[in-house]
Amino acid sequence: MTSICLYFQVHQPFRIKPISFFDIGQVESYDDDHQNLRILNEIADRCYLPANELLQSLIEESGEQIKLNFSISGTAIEQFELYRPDVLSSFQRLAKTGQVEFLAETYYHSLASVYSPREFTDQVHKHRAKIKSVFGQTPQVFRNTELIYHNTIAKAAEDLGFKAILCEGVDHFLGGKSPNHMYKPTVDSNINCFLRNYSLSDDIAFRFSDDTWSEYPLTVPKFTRWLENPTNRGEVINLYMDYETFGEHQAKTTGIFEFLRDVLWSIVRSKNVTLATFSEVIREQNATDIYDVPTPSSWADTERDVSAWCGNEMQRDALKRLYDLEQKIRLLGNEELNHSWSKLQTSDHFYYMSTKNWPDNEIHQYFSPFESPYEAYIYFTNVLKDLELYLDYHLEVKQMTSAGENSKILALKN
Amino acid sequence: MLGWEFPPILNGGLGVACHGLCNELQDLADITLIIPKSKSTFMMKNMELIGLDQCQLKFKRFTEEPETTRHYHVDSIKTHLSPYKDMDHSFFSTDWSVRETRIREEESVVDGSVDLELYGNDMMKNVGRFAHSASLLADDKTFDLIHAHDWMTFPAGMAIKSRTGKPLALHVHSLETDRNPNGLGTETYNIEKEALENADVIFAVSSWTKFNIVKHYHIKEEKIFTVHNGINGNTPIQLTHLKNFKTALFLGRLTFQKGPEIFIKIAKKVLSAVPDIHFVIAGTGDKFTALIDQAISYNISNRIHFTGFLGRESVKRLLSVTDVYVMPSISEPFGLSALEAAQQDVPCIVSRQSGVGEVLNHALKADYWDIEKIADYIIAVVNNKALKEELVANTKKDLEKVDWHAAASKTHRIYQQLINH
Repeated sequence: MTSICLYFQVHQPFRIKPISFFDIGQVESYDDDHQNLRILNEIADRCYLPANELLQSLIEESGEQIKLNFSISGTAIEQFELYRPDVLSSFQRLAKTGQVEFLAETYYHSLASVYSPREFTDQVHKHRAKIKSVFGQTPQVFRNTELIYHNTIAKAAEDLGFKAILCEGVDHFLGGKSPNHMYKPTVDSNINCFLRNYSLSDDIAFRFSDDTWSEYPLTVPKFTRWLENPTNRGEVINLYMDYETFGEHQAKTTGIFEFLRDVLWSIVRSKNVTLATFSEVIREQNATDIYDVPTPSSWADTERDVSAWCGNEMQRDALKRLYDLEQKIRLLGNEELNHSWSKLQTSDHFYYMSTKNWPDNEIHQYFSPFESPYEAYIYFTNVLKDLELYLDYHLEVKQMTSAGENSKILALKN
Repeated sequence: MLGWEFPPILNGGLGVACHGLCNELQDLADITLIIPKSKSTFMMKNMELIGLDQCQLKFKRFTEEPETTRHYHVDSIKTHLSPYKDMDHSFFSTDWSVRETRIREEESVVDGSVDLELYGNDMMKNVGRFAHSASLLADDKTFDLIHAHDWMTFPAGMAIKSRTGKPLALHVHSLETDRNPNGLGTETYNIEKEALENADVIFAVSSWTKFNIVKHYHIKEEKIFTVHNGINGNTPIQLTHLKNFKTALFLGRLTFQKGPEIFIKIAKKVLSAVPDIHFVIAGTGDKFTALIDQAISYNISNRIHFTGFLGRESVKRLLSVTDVYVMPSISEPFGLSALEAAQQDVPCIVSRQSGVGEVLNHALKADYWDIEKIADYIIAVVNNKALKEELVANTKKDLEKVDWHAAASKTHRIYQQLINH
């Protein structure tokens, strides 16, 4: 029996306002509240609510046969709390069924794993605590932002106490091996890697409604056949995709909801494959084989590396300037400023700055709230400049206050 | 083909574009180009170039025969070229009108060259003379279609079409509604409108121009084809001297259409926040003195520099020390100078009302009235090396796709459709 680990990613960034250079020094909030609310409302109605309702009823009908995995970023949960508590409640109802495992990630869906180990650790702790308080589960399995992964990140996750980590099954790292097995990063590590089967995952996420695809239309019997194909089978088939695939990337009219419902039933009825959570799989067995990834991989673009976020000069410059502020943030220790800074770490901001094949890169264009990667960079760096001024101001005040206190102490002594 | 400007006599982008297109097209089609002025030292390898100033027209009229069988003979001879006058001066030669009278009066044999000014107060008369002479010349040629560049040659195109019945293609490099804010209903507009209605196909140098032809001239979209201009290869020249200040450049005629006043407004906005950026205005035109007054009244005259008219080499030198090129045109059919700036590795900011933005994906774009946004762009480009480098590197890729060969191929394809129709 092969386990099918179905994992859905739920994420929304706090998009920033187009802040002009002339606004620097007088900005009250960087978040584009209006746009964030509008987008969340659209996606809630098209995807989150109907998809959750569908899964909820399937779980109730099927007893304990349906098992799913979710990762919800901290920024998405915050936006549910702010704008759509009904969406959060529907996720909480799913959590209560006991059939859904919630994963840990960086709270701000950030690139901290690449740029700041300390920030990375802080954000993982913060996310783990948030999931515990909202869903009553302590995550045991880690998935890094956009499946950014390499051996060092696996080690960091192991050190943080996770039993498994998710990653992309990249062909050139697999070297001909199947992604449908359990792996570990090095001989002496005690963490399991679950590798995404990108072919089967993207058949749903990207190709489902593509009528130029030779396999179009994707029917449930066909997809079940692929899952059950003996040459495909290992211990586990990992299907990872954005939750927004259902109703948003693939519109309701494509029949994606019916497909989801029927394919889950089909797996439930199958004698060869079964749905599972990641933790269930590792309770039964652990990896022996090695999946060695010395350089960062991810699930983005055809390159499946980190070039979607740090592939060009603007992205690298913006990231460097952002993480250069870390020291000042830590010196100040101000929760609110920390939050503002951290929201800017969300990977989406850098994704918008990608010039890869722009303006023909439909996927990057689809997600970006800006007209061009250049605008994304200009507005982001304007925000950074404003934040920096604000931090400097607070640092000055802090120094003056502590200098004032010191002189008072000196005066008392004398 | 009927043209107005052609190398080596150039005033604006029209002659450059016409030459660029012909240079590639001459390998695909047999072209005879009739222009007002040519220089015998300037030849095209595969096409016939006739300057009215350079040829001797001998009109032999056999009065007993019907008009359609008249025979003319054209011989090219070398004559002295009258000096090219700046468009600011009004000047025209009376020679031609005398000869024109002779044609009518004698109705037998006329000879002599035609010398008319390209621009000036009497342009309308010159356009008429060109139409007359060109159509006489065309009678003696065999050809499949007529291709006329801009309104000055449109009457000639129409005249030839009505005499020969050959299909007429009009090439629109700019429109009266671009050049003149009150262009609707002027004499030039009426010429354009009549010709556009009369044309079998229209080539527009950008989709922006196509849009304006439909909007202001009510022409059916189906017969308008966008053929973007190309640009010839050009190696950037190296920085001639070190400079320690940032420069934003405006380059073009100082006329309403090009938005120089907007450029000064943008400069004022930028300087209110970043005082160490310099703004260079290169070119000349009717707005020149008004612009100086504007800079003085804004109290930023120490940051605005006027260069006057610059030759091609000086433009290249200026671009080599420019940090950002700004084209705030109110309506720019194409905007070749942005491509020239891009070739010199200068990042470009162009108004959305400019055709060149359609080929420069990696230029920053804003509506010409969005002064704050353009100011924001200028500050961002001069202050962020990463942005500048990214823009320049990606614009290079855009430039690779902009070439006259593609323009000529598309033009040729439409020629064939037109002839076979």
